[in-house]
Amino acid sequence: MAVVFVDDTGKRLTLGAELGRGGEGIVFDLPGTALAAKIYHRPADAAKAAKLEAMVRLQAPGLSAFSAWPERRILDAAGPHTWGIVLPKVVEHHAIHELYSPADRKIEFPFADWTFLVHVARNCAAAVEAIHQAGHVVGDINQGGVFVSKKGTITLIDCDSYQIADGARLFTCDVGVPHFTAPELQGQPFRGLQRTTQHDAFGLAVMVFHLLFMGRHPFAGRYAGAGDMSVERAIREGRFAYGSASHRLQMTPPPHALRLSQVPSEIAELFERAFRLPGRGTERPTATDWLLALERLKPSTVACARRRGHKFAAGSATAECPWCQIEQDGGPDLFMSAHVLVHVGTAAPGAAFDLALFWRDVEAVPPPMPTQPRAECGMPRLPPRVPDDEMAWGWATVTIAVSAALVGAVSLIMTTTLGTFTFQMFSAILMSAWFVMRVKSPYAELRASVCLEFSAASTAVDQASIEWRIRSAAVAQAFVDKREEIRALSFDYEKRLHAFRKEESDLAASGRPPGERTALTRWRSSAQASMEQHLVARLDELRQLQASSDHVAIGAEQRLRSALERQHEAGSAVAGLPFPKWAA
Amino acid sequence: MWRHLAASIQGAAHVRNGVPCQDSSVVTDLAADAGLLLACADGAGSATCADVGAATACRALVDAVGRFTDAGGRIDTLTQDVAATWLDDIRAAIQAQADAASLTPRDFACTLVAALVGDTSSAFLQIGDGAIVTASPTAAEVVFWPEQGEYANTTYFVTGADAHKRLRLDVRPTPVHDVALFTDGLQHIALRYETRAPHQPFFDPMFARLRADDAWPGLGGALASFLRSDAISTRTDDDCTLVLACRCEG
Repeated sequence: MAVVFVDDTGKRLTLGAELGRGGEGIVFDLPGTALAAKIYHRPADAAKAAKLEAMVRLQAPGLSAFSAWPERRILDAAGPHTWGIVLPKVVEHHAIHELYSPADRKIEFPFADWTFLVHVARNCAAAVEAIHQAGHVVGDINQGGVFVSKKGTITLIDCDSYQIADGARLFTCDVGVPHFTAPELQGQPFRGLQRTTQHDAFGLAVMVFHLLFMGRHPFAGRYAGAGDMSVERAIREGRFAYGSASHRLQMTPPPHALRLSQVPSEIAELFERAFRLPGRGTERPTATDWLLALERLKPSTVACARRRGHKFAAGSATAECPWCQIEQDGGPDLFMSAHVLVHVGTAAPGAAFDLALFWRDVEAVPPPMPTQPRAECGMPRLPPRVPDDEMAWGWATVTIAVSAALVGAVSLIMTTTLGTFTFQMFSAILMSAWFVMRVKSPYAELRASVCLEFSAASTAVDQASIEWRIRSAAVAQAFVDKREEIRALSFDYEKRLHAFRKEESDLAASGRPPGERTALTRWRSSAQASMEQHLVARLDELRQLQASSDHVAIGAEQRLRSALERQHEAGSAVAGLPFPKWAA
Repeated sequence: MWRHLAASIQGAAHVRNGVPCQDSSVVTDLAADAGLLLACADGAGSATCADVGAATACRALVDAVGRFTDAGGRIDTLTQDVAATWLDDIRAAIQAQADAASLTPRDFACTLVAALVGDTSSAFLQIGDGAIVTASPTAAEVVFWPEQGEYANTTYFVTGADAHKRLRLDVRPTPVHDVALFTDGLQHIALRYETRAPHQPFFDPMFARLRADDAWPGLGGALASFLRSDAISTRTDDDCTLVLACRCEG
């Protein structure tokens, strides 16, 4: 690149590896520093350059604690252009949707339970509050602009798009994401639009909702009215799918979603206020309101008695574990990965048999995926068609020729032996008809049997194909059940171990004879050993199930292949029939 | 005299997840030069035996229409009641499959799009998404605008309890010039949502080729490779099925 980049202080910048790329510019590493350089595709125009200058000047510890706030400008050493900004590198962070989407969470944040999600929601509110306190507005709150660390801390990125107040001068935020945009701004062009903290309050509430409600959008639900209900339209019309007025608004939450009644009423009311249409002195809860409410919510969460990874609000209207309820209604276990951590984290330290290591082994057995036949497209397996005019004519010719010969022969015999012409003709016609019927029927039977074989072969193909998935799904299910069994056994093991230790210390304190203590210890270790053997045996079974899934798939594939072969042969037989359809 | 082509390809998402192509299609002559029956079915991604369901639906439709024409039925005598009996036959065939495997018809859920095209009349029927496009040199239209189910990305299925209510039939006393049927994988490429009309640049070259090439029965491979090309695969990762037919003089 011909441009030599320098920062505000005139220091020359050496760009390292590319870290990311967006519509606006490219982010490069600044090697040897905790900083990165965002270089725009084109030099900033006058307004943007002024905005960046103001942002660099206005940087404050309160802002940098929560955001990748620009620290310096990047200028062209030779010219007047502003080319970009130097900002803190955001490392070991994930985009927030990787936390709130249950599928991604299992991979990126396997240990996160609902308490953690509340904690992160609280931190989001704190980050937005910091921006507001400095007089600025985020403007474009969205799932790509909020990054979260494994510890749950928040870093807001793309700060150069924010609405910045520099004394009397206001630099607007010219972008936005419709799903996070307040109803009064829906459909409006963002360029030059003056945003307020009330607009951010909507985006923040949508973000908090995503975090607490498993990545669901508050305005995405089932709409009972006519026409398509897009999320944008639902926002514009104030159709909050979870709210107390949702019935009147003809909205119902999607199946297997957390309900508003399952969070404390304080949080529920904040959502109601945030998602109501604006008007008549109603204000959306501010970032501070959210911060305080979420801070109160966090310590009030409790663990489910059945599944320890399930955390929920104790103060909600329903005391039952909502995650267990979702599971019972046929939904997924939304915190599957969190239970395992609970086990590993509480493993007995120092024991010869380490439950944590054991669970690592359990986790290392990959669950068999239900497989399906990978045959080529499922074209309807119709028998190949036979109609062929030449063949039809061929058959007709044969029929006529044979009939004619027969009529001739019979007439000749009858004329010489009997002599009555009418009777002769009548008999001849009857006989030739009988002959045609006789000749035809074996063909018809052949055709029927060939077609029957084809349809039987097709049924066999379908059956083999269905059987494949049923068997492989059964193995996958058996695997899941086995793991559940191991989990329950582990629970039991931990509980018993704890009880043993307590007994032992009680005994030691009671000063009973050492003989009694030895006996207990001996009994205890044999009981413990048998439980451990039991656990290890189950792990072997789990591995066997894993291995058997391959055999099932191979066997199923062989059966399907032979069924397809049989069908192919039957198809060739149909195609090879020397007989047109009409004749049968 | 009709020329026709059909191809189905497995979507990238299905390749990735080890799911077979769940689309099925069929083109067959109606009895006694009465025209063509074209159909395609899209198995529900959530159903375990959706591919078998889609194939069964197409096959059962061919049988049902065969019985109708054998009994003297013609396109212009087709009524909603007759179409309902076809649907009954299809549902019965799927039920039989499900019973044999101790599954429920839901495990075989699929949509169905079909057209009967003759020299003087034509009929179209549809349950769920996918679409039928009819075209002439002057105009092109979508017969039934694709119907969305209760939620985004859901639709109606022949196996659904409300299938009879969702069966849409349109019998027209006019023949079609060109007709195309496709499953929802192609919907966003082949249709213009803002005008609710077919995207003609998508169809025109294909019909032109089908009409111009006298070796048309061999074009199936070319159609499949078109469906696999970047032009399509970068815009959908679902299974795609396209069935084309055009009426030629003589």
